[in-house]
Amino acid sequence: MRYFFFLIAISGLFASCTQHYFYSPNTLHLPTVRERGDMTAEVSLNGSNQIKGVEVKAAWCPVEKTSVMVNYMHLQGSFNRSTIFTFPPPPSEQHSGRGYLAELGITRHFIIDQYRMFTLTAGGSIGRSVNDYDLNRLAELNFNRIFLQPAFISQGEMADFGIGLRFSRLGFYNGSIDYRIAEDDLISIQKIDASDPFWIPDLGLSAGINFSPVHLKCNLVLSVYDKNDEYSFSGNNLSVSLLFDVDNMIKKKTSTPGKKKKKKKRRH
Amino acid sequence: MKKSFLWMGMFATILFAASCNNKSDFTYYHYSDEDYSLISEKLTLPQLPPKYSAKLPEHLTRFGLSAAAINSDQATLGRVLFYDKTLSSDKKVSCASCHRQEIGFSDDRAVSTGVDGRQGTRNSIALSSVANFAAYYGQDLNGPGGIPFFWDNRASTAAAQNIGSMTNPLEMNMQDHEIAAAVKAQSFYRPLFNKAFGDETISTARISEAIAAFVNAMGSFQSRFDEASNEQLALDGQYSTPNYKTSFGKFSASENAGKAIYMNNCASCHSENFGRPRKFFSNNGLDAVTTDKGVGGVSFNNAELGSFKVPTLRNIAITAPYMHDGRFATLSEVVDHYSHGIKSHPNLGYELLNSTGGPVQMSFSAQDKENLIAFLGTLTDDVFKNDERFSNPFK
Repeated sequence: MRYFFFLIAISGLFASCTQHYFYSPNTLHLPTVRERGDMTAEVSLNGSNQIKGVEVKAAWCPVEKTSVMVNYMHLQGSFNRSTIFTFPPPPSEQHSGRGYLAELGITRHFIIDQYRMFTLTAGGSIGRSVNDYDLNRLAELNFNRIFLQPAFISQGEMADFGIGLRFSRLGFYNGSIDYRIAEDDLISIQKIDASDPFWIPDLGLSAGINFSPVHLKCNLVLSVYDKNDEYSFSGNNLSVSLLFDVDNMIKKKTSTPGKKKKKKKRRH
Repeated sequence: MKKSFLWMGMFATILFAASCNNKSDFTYYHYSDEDYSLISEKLTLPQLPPKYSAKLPEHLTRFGLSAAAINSDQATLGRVLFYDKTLSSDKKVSCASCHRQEIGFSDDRAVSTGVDGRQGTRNSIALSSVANFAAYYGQDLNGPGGIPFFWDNRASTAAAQNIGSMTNPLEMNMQDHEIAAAVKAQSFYRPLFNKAFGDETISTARISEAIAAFVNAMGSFQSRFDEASNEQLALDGQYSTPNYKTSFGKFSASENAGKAIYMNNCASCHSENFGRPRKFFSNNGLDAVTTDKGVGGVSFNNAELGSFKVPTLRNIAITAPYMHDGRFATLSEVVDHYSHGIKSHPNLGYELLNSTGGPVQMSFSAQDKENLIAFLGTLTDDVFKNDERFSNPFK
């Protein structure tokens, strides 16, 4: 129950808004794998009233204490807004935005004990944001990102917790912008154009309860970058997810009938 | 140890890659290449239209004045129409013929010359006489606080005003349908209408609306007076409105003395901040006997006979001649009128009445006159009169 209240409380961070965003961070992937062969998959629902999306994350340990991760995020939203000023005013326009981000990372796990570990992840992402201002007006921006992400992860019998910092270098490598989009957004894009690349720190929090081999999780990323408003970057992102211990599920399914195999606990 | 080196090497590589400069390559598009070629045959317009919405100086926004948002595509189309001479019956007169940018969008003739050399009846009003046209005149029908157009206030909107001038036999002498036909005959207008209104339909109403957008975008608010007022505002404090009666640090002694004369004798009609006048119209004692009915001729109110719009005075030093009929060629003559030339008239504005009901004689000394004219010179906006966005786009 307390997790439920936690979710409600942080949902307040995502008040509804009617604006376009040119970048939105994905939630941090804090991988809980650690032994060779460990594999997890996570599916998340993201967003607020205006922006909704989905994230898919996977992690796999090819060797002991080292894992690779693949993440994908898709976000989209729509709202009404007027940007053409005439008298009498026209009906409000149907604005929308969508974006995706795909990334690859490699993580080194520094084990403290069977419950706790530090991780250090390095990775790269590519992404695209498409904002539609109605009346055939589009602003399409393509970006890439590389990041370093130190994190601390605690795994208990019943619950997991993780906290991490992601230091990103965000670069917008090209874009195609209709000059008739809303003037304030055009100014933001021109600022992005002039200021690129960006060094952005994000704080990531993750908490979950275990119904092994399934985990119910909540992930939150809070940007500590102070110029998000200036560039119309969405600073925060929240997701609720299900994480699956894929290796456990596969082993359970393929174990010999009649022979009960002891389920592997992801604690060391 | 070996693994640690491997990790350190990997992270160092990433940091090195991160430091590489791959500046963004953004493409801003507006007209298609084909459309832009068509436009460029006759016009010099930038591929990306400039933004026309104005941001008024803080000393005016503190009083609640704000500039209207302007559709830049409509203003761009309006700019072309404003300078297009085919919108007159003899193809020789455009709006710009009587509103010349280099003199604050005014005319240096007492009364303007229309098609076939026809003489108008009144002086062409300087369009840059306001902080922002839309803020001063309002952008919709009669409000909010909008001021009517023409010297006799007979038009309610900028659109009604420009149609009035295009169809006036003494000015551009066109019929409604001829205006649209003249525009349709020029192919470069199609993409401009498409961007301004979302399709290529050309109508007189749209033409009028586009010209109104261009005119409403006009604003003169980068004068030395504005600069000095903003500086005064900064000194006065964050939440105050500026005290225009204080001597401005950026002004000379003569300009400050002239400002004091203005604030004591003229501001009750023309306003202290040159944002909005205190009165929409007034009789200022030009004639003892009514020769031009002015506002009274439109309202059919005898108490308003001989009354005319009270203009704000921005760019006044470059918009001679003065008054509704251009009777005064210089500012010196204007000051002389208020100094000792105001005539008695039954409708004379109460600000110009003395205690016995006769006309006030302000009796300025030669030094007062010099100071007052020096102050009025601080209202000139050199940026506006050279602003490319408002210049003639025709090749």
